[in-house]
Amino acid sequence: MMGILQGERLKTLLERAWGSSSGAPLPPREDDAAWPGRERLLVAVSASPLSARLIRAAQRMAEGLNAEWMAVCVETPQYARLSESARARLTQNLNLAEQLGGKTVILSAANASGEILAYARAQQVSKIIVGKPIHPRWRDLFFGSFVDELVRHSGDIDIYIIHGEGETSFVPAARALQSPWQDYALAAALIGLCTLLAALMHTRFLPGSISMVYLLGIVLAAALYGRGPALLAALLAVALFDYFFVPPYRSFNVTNSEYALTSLVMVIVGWTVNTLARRIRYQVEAARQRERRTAALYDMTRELAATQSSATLARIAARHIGALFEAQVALLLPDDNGSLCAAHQPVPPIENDVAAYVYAQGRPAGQHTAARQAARLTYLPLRTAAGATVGVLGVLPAQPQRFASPEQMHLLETFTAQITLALERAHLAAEAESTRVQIESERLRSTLLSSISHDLRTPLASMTGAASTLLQEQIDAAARRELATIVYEEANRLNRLVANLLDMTRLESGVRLHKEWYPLEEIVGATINRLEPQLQNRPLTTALADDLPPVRVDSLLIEQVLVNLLENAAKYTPAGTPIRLSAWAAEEVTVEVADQGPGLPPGTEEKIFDKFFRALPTAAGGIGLGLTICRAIIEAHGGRIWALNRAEGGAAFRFTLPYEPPPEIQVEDV
Amino acid sequence: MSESAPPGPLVLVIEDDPQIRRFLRTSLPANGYHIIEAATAFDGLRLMGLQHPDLVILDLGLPDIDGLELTRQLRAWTTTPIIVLSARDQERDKIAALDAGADDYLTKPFGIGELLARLRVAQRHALRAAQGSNDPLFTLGNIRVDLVRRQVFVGEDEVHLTPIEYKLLTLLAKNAGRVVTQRQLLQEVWGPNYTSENHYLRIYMSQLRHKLEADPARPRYLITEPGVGYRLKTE
Repeated sequence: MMGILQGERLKTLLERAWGSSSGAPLPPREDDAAWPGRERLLVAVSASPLSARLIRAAQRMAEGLNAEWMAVCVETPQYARLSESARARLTQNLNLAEQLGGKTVILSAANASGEILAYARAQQVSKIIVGKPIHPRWRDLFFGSFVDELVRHSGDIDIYIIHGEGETSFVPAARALQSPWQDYALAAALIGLCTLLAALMHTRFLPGSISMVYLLGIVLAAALYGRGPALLAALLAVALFDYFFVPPYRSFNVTNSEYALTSLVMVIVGWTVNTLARRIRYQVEAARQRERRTAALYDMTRELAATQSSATLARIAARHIGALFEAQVALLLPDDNGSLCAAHQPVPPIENDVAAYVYAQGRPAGQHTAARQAARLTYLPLRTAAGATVGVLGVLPAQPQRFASPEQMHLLETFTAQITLALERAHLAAEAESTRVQIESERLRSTLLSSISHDLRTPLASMTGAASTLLQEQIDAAARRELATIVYEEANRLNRLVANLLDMTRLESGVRLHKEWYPLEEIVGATINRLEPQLQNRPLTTALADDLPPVRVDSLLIEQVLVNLLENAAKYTPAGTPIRLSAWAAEEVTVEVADQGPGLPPGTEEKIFDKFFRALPTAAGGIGLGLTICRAIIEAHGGRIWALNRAEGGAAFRFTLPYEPPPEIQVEDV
Repeated sequence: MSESAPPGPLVLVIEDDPQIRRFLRTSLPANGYHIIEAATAFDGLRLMGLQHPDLVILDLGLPDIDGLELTRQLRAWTTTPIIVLSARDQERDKIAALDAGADDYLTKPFGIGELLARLRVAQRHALRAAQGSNDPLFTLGNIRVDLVRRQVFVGEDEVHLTPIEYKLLTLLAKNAGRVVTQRQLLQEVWGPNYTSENHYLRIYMSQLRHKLEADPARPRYLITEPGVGYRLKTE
């Protein structure tokens, strides 16, 4: 269930962040359905300085309509050629949109108008705002008009066209992707090679066939190199073909119009192949980049899915984000007191006030965001789908301008979303666990209540009975003594039950051990002294090894363990059978209480340590807490406790206490 | 107040629980003690001044002043033996009261047998302190301590003790039957700078047991009072 949800969610997130180059419509977000009547505006943004005006206009319009709005930029293949300054302007435009409260989206596709319309329909946009074209009209004849196409296919979506009055027109910047001079040389060489080949063919072939050789060279150059070299190759080919192989020879004059057409076709083919090749190259590059990001995101998501603790999550997330963005990363999570602290090490220096702002507001801040731009780092909130902020991600990239690019920022946001999901999942798991514990403790409480009502009432019943009989006058001395003994013994039993309940409560609420160094012998002695009345008719042997080191324990608690074990042995074995208490030291100190009774029912060796479990429910005695208390105490000391049936008959309970090097004792001079 | 001195010792019970007072009111006279009762520390102090009891039984959980504070106030002007009663979760108060000068303690619930034993020891101790007894010979079962010659015998055999072991033993013997706290033992034997070096004490007690007891793991005389201190058992 979880996995499927996550997969769906991941897909949505990926698409939301990077757009879908195929133009597939995005599924409407769940929250869209909640606002069926609400207006949505979309403003198409480009690298043009006029876009800023468009964005402001859209914001004003949205405000007037009380509508949501978004700024959308479609990255077409031409974007690869944009100059640095144009890119910066695009970034500025998108940042402006975000600052004004708009959502920004970058889509990538070859056909801008189609992509925008598809996205607008998916997002239930009611109005689209675009800029009035400022380029000469003749371009539309050749390349098609973005605005015309938009209007033609808009259907029920309103299109607003706004002009950029009073602002400087956008001059396309110098081509960013300059072909290196080597490409020109190679293109020229290729055509030279064609000329050589043509010269060999010249005597036996017609000029039409020779033109094919040149065409091959043009196509190759167009496919392999950039626009410049391709154009050079085409023109060079046309020139050389005309000069050498079209009569009149050694002249650029072309008398036969057939060859003029051939020359023209050669140039057009070169141009077209080059355009197609560039488009393919662009798409391959885009696909490769997407592939790399998806792989990085997938890697992180997979690792996150395998972790539960938020500290580990933070470490994994920081490593992946750091590697992909070449940045120092700090993942800040609230501690128990609700104040943010780094969940992993090492972290870059964090501006705590900015992080706190992001955590409180649930909005990004720092470098390249709308708020607190003076901060050195970029801070993003980890926001859950429900809108709660569960942490803050601080990033300090090696290249300071990295997150100026909205595309990189969006990628970072996608990672943030994944981390949030993982944290949410870990949180939910912890919550489920605590609910389970709570249910368990509820169950225990009700068991406890029924135990108390039964086990505490039994001794009370015999005490009440015996005491009320004592109050009658006609009782002989022997009976009187017997009744008084009953009251005394039952009161003692009740005392032990209450003591056990109190011990358990105290241990469960987190016991603080008062550890000190003791000879084990002393604790054993105190235990036997305390149990003397109960063990009167029992042959009890003690066998403590001579080389026992002192143990560092809470003596009262260890004494309680021994008392419970010895009492159990006395309770569950026939009167008069011997009990042996022994201890020996190896890597740790082991203590054993062994009896010669019937042993434990098979399969209960583990269960007897469970709360309220009694091996023989009818046997007179406790409420099944004695061994649970023992286990809690021994485990708090870092030891183990277990039960076994001895080969020679009877049960044995063993516990260990970890070895610690004892303190130096100054021995007195005798 | 009373016209003639009562024949048995007078015990002041300072305890707020009426049922415990009722139990003591019935049991103690049956065992030859006279009893006066106070439900509050304030009443207790008043009766203490008026009646000069021979023994005090003091509950640590009083409603007005806590038992520890009352012990300190009483010890400021009287040496009357005080036996404190404590609940199981008052370990610290119990030790603090003993260190503040209480003579012994009993943990609730307790039997009348234990209480009588404590009262007898406290009385005997008070008597010895008053008479300034300096019996040169201390005997306990088959253990004999010659306080003049500083010799210790188990049966007929002399046992060699180190100076610290000997000091420990004589200190416990001086308080025979009474609990002596770890702090008191450390302070008397090692000096005031060693009052938290409990493990020293335990090592020496262990050595002493090995020299004097037949089975050191099941001591008959040198009894550990868990968490509190040690007691030389006399009965």
